[in-house]
Formats: sequence, C-alpha cells, structure tokens
Amino acid sequence: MVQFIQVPKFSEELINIPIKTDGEKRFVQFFGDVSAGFPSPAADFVQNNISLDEILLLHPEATYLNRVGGESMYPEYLKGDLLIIRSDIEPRHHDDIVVSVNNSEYTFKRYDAINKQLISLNPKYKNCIQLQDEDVVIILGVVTDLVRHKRN
Amino acid sequence: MYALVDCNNFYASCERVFNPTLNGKPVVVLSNNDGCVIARSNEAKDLGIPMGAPAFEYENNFRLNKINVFSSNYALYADMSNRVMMILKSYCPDIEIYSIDESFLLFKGFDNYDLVNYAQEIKQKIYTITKIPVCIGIAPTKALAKVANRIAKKFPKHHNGVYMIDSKEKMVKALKWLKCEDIWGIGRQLSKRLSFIGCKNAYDFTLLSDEYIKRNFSIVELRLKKELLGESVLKLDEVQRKKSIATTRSFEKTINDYENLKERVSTFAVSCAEKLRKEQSKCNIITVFVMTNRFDEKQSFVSNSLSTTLDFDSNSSIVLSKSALFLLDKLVPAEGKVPDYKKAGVIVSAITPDNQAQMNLFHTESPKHKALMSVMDQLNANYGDHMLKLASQDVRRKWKMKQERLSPCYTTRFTDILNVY
Repeated sequence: MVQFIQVPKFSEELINIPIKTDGEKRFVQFFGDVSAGFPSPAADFVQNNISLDEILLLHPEATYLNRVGGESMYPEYLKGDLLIIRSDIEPRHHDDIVVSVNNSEYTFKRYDAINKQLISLNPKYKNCIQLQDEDVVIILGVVTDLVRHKRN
Repeated sequence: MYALVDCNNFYASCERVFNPTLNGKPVVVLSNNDGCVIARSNEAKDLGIPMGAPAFEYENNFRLNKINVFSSNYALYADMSNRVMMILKSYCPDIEIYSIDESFLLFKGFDNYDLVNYAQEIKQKIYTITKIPVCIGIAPTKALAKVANRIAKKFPKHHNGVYMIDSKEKMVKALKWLKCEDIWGIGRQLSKRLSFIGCKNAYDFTLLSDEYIKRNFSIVELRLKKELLGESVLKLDEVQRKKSIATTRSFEKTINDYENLKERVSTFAVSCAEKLRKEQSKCNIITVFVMTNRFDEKQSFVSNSLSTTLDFDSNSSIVLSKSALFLLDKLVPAEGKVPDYKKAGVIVSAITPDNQAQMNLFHTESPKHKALMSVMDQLNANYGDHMLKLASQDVRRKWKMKQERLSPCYTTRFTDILNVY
C-alpha cells in the first residue's frame, strides 16, 4: 500500500519522524494534471511512486542523521544543514566525517588521508587535528548526502 | 549450531553511541520514573553499584564516584536494538529475537564455515555500524549457546568476545564451571533446592537421572538437562509471542486517593490492551497489583495483587479497563485509610493469537469493540499520544513520567538529532 509522508517542517508539531530501520519505504505520490475529457493513454503506464528513501536510506541500519551546528565547515556546509551519514563505509581521502578522537565529543571534519589530518574547511577555524598512531578514533559515519532547506 | 548474540550492558552502551565522552567512564541507566538501576557499564560494576540499586539511596555514591546517570531512553534503545537485529539477519536468516539485546541464530548449512571467524566478523560489523559491543556464544543447543556466551563475556581477553563449545571436553569443562543458579531458566528457588541435594554446578545437575528430575522437578528441567548435554530439544522460536505483558509504574508521589488510583490503573490496562493489539493477540488473564514504598518507615509495607480470568479472550481497552478496575476495587481496603501506594501495575497473561480465540458458550465480546479499537488506535496514531481516552482514564490531567536525566532521542526525533560542530 502506498503511504504518504508529510514533508517535515521542523516545527514543534512535527518532531516525531523516526528513521525507519525496518527497511519499509515510504512514498511521495505525484499526481499528474487532472484534465476532463479524453483520458490520457499514458495513465495505465504511470509509475507514480517515488521514494526519497530509495536514494537516501539504502541501508537504514547504518544510517544516522546529524545536523550541522556551527560554521566550521563553511562554505560547503551551512549551519542547519541535515547530514545523512553512513557508518558502514570506510572513509576515503577528502570524505567528510563525523568523528571522535580520544573520546572527545563528535566533531565534523574533512579527512585528509595523505597527511593523516582532520580539517575544518572554514579558514577562520584553525583547529586541524593531526592524527597519531596511538589515537583512539571513533567514526560515527561518513557524510553521503546533504539535505538543505532553501526556504521554509 | 546455535549462536546467542548478546549486547554488552546494552542500555549503558546505547548511551555511549552518540556520546563518546562517556567511554571508559561509569554509566548507569535508571528504570522508568528514575526508580532503580537497570543497566551498568563495566566501570559502574567495578565501583560496586548493584543491579536494582534504588536511585535515591545511591544519589551520593553516584556523585562521589562521578557516575553518569541516565533515565531510560527506550526510543533510542529500541532503535539501536532494531539496527543490531537487522545486521544479524543479513548474516544468518534463521533468527529468534529473544529480547531487546539478545538473539539466537541457527546456523543451518554453514558446514564449511569457520563459525568462530564468522562470529568475529559479525561482532566487528555490529560494532562498526552501531558502536555496540556484543558477545557471541556458539554451541549445538540453545542452552549451551547461552553457557558459551557467558564464557565469552566473562573472559574477554581469552576469547575476544566469541566462544564456541564444539567438543565433549569443552562442554564438560563449561558445565563444571557454571554454577547452578546461572543455568538458563533455573531460578533462585530451584537452585537452592539443587544445592540442597548436592548439585554444586551444572555438571552435577546433568548427572541426575531423568526419572529423578521428572519426579522432583518438571519436564522443563528435563529438557534443560538434555540441552546441556548437547541434545537439541529447544528449537528456534521465530515468532515468539510474549508470555505476559505488563504496564507498571512507580509513582512520583505516593497516591492514597482512590479516584486517582483508579485513573492510573485504568490507563495501565489501556496501555496493556494497546500492546496486545499491536502484536495481534488477546489475553485471558488479567492481574492488578498495588504496593507501598518498602523504604518508608512510617507505614508497614503492603503489596497486594489479584488476578481474574476473562469470560472471553480480549484485547479491548474497554474490557480490560473494566476488569482491572473490578480487581482494584477488591484490592483497596473498603474501609479506613487507603495506604500511600508507591507503585501499581497491570499484567495480562495467557496470551493467544488474535485469530484463534477459544469460543465461549455464554459470553462473547461485542464485535463492535474490534472496530472501535481499531478506530481508536488509528486516531491516537495520527493525532499524537492518547488524544482519545476512556472516561475512566486520567482525562484532564496530563500525567508524565519522571525522566529527569533523559538523553536525547538521537535517532527517532528530528529535534533531537546530534548537532556536530
């Protein structure tokens, strides 16, 4: 059965949208123009279900959502951006990752695999982290997608 | 071969997933209403915090030892559990989810696999994806898998979280190590009886003759003996229906007002009915209990419970609420002062699937209930928690659980997702 999702507005009324880890997909249904008269010959062939989950939630068990809380990754990421991160993939050079070093809080950095560094993109932030071999590095996930609300 | 996958200190581990600053530090999780300790990290265990420690008694201890205390965040735990179980399913199709943090796997047709290696791979994958540490025990039967899991958990350095019992010698060694009270399904009372007849460990238990066990204990213990000796009698129960469902709460303040108590008990009954409908089953027995605070010195400790069978199997909020209030009426003294109750609850049992109810010659449930309940569930799902209530429930009051130290619902609520800087 087709289930409709409401587009989240991030207001108080619509807080309870869980990430579904059951793998079931929700669909946004697009309706074509309604016209009177001769029925469209294509009507029988319309596959009118598109699910954003199909591109954003391929592995629900390994997907987490984070929100950008500051300017450290400006200009590529803006405050308030929604990050879709995956914990099941290995970070590669120049991936953006949510990471904790030596049991610090999670921070959002770009991974420089060549120099073994975690970099903030904003030139105003000079807090590069040089990784040492004995550091305990916990990666919550690699950013795979970005959801940005252009207007509300 | 069966495997038991068990998450280590599950609730405490969940609190760490989004908060790595807690790693290496003591963490405890409190029960509903912040009553007592229900989960401890290893560091908290080492500090001597017992399971079930009442929070108010340990308040100072928590502060002195800088223990991180959390209210239970079931939304987070359920989501993390779901993730772990999904990963397990991708490694082994035959799985029985035994509880929120435990699952049995049945390795059928894995003859060419090095199961210890495979289990290590599973353990590693679960850690990478969820940051939850697990232990895995592998053995020819479910009861032995449980034992193997215990060994994996007790000796992490030796086995790296995975232990397999695959030979007679390992089995005997494990059974001789396992104390009677730690055998799966042997309660405290039973283990006392066993030690009385000279059983010091699980191995001694398996030496008892079948006849003796059957005569003095029951068929359940006989099955257990066979399981411990490597003969598989307990099969994978894939869709396990719960044996009983309970909704119980410690009250924030004691209640000695009968009307108020009635509202609460009615709400508990409605909640049980909702849980039953969710798993498409009905119950035949309903139990109501009330108790006072056992730490209160001003009054003697009172704990009463009463059960009744229903005329017909039901999952209707109306029927269960009526029966619960009927029982409560008998429980609470009709004359004199009502004691200061601290805790109450409703438990439903004798649960059967919705579609195979026993017919009763004289009474049946009004068919209207089924339709009514489905409308009620639908409305409550659409318009938020408990917009629609029975009149016997607490209609005006908005009753809230005490959750002073709740961590954010990182994975289930948009406003709570982790901000990263």
